[in-house]
Amino acid sequence: MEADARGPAVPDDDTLFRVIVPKAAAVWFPNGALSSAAFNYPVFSVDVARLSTVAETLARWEPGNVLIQFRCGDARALGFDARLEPENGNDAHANVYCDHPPNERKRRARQLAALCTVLTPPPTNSP
Amino acid sequence: MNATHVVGLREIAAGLVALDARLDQVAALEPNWDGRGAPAVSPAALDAVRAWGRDMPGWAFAPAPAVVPLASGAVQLEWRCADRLLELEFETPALLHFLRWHPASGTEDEDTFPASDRARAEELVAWVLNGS
Repeated sequence: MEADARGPAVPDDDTLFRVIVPKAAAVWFPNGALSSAAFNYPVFSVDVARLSTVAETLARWEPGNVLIQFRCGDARALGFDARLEPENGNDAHANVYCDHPPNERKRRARQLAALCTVLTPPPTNSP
Repeated sequence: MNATHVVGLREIAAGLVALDARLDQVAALEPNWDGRGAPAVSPAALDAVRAWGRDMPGWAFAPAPAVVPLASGAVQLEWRCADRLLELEFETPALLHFLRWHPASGTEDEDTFPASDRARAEELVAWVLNGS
C-alpha cells in the first residue's frame, strides 16, 4: 500500500502488541531468544495497547499464543511504520509497514526483535 | 578455520543429528503455520540447506544452528555463540543472505553471496563460533 493511502500514524509513545501463534513460537525462539523472522514481513499486524488489553488481544486468537510488545516510536526509527487500520471489528488493529530497503531488512528486523519484551513465555521445546 | 574452535567427532555427529531433526521439524509445518497465511517451507529450500550442509565442514554444525522458517517460505539457519549471532537465509538455492550481528563490537553486517562460495560461508560460521 502506498504511504499516503495508509491509515493514521500510531503515535510514537504507544505500545504495540504482536501475537505469535504456537506453531510459529515453536520455531521463532531458538534458545529462548526471539528470532528476527518474527518481523521478516513486508507488513504485519499488531494491536495498539492503548486501545486493547493483553487479555483482549490474546482472546482474538487461539489459546497458547506468545505475546510480545514494543514501543511504536522505537520501531518507526528502524523503518517500521505503524498505521491504525481497524479490521474485523478490532478497533485496536494496526498494520506495521516495513519501509526499508531489502538489503537492510534482516538488520532492521534483528534490531526490532532485540527491543521486544515478551509478555507471555514461549514454549520450551524450541529448536 | 581458527584453531581456537576445536570440536570432537562426537560433538560434530550430535550437531548433524540435531540439524537433521530441526530440518524435519520445519519441513512438517503446514501452510498458515504463522497464523497469517505463510506457505509451507519450500522443499527446494530445505533440499538446498541439506545439500549445502553436506559440503560444509563438520565443525560448522557443532553446535548445530537453529532452523528458522520465514513467512516467505524461505528458511534460515541461526547460530548463536556468546553474544554473537549469525543468520544465514537461503533466499534461493543459489543465493544466501546473511546477517552478522554483534552490537557490542559495532558489527551489524548484512549482505548476500552465492551458495557456492564455501570459503565465505566458512568464514562467517567460524566468526560466530569463535569470534574471529
